[in-house]
Amino acid sequence: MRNRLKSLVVALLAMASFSSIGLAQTTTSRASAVSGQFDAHDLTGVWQRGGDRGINPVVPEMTPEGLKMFNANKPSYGRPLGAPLNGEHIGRVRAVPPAQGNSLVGDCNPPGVPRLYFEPEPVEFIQGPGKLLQFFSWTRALREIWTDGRMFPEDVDALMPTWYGYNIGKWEGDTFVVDSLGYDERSWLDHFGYPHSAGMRMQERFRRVSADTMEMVLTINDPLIYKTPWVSQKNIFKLVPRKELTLNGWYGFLEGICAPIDEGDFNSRVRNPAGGVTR
Amino acid sequence: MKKRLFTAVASIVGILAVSGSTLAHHGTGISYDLTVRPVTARATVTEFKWANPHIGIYVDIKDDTGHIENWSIEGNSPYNWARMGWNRKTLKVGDEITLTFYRSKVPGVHAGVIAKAVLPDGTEVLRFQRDEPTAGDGVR
Repeated sequence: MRNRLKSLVVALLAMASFSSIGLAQTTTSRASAVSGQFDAHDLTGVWQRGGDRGINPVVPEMTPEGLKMFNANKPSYGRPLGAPLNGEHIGRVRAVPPAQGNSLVGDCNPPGVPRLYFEPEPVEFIQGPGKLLQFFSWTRALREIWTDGRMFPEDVDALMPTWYGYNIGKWEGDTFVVDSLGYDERSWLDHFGYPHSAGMRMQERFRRVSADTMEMVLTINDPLIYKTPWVSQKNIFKLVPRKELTLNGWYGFLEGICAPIDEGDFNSRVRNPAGGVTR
Repeated sequence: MKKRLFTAVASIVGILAVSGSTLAHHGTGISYDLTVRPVTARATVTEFKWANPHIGIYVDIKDDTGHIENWSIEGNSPYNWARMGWNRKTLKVGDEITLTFYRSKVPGVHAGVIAKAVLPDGTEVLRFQRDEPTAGDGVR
């Protein structure tokens, strides 16, 4: 009993310490954005990425296994299936109505990363001792990036596959490098339905280049699916001004939860009939 | 007149502000035909469902013979519309509005995606798609 109480107190203290640092750094970041000065090693703040919903329109050659998975995915982004390619990769020209697609997100399953980066919604970075937390406004997903010097779990295949990875972060000069693995192969890499295997390794490289701008390039290493590493476009994140996240005098993220009870209602009354599906 | 002008300007600014997310909404140009002129009709709101990730607007519209048809109209996300100043009180059951929307590509289906809704006093509320059709394959 005493041990439990002790553990509880330690946990609460750790949470308090972590959140207060997060809040303090958030304030610092905002102040810096105003003055134009910034700390390249402080990524704390609310960021919004611009750009399209994919990793990169230029796609590496896929393996037979990769092609099989790619062809099984039916996304609803891009131009319609059957439209002329115009030099684009087929992945950008195969959209079907959402009612006829098979994105797991359509039923409110987790998007996972990197796909969640490509939603046009903000993400908060909170740097604390031993880890950096990413708080994605859409789906309210939390992703832990450990910076406490740990190694990846032993025999990761024996653990549960994840939507958000086993993530290790470290600084290389002014670049924050995140290596991750242990992903659930059911998630798509982006909105265009590019697949990955359970053996995928991802590396993200973040660099704060000004008070209000952060860049990130990610690389997918998944030889079972792609014959060469897939390097993303440069992703540009902008710090979101406080007023843009203030509604009715209330600052913060709206509750962007995809609730199956609401999405199911919408799907049956709007999405499905609009897409020619009766169910 | 001034108010209308202000509303129109505010709407355009709002659309530009959220265009990245608006234009990339999934399946909009796939499920709905954005290449033909949208329908504009007087409509009575029967339900306004402000929910994630899609807002649903359910209305009654009289057809040419006076028969009432139930239509289901897709809206944007609460996140985007809230940023444009709209909320779950923007429409209520019984409101008479002028609704502009693009129809589903499926013939005979009473479903569409909203371009805009206009209140009887001319105030434009809710804007998702442009009034003018788009060329090509209709994907914005």
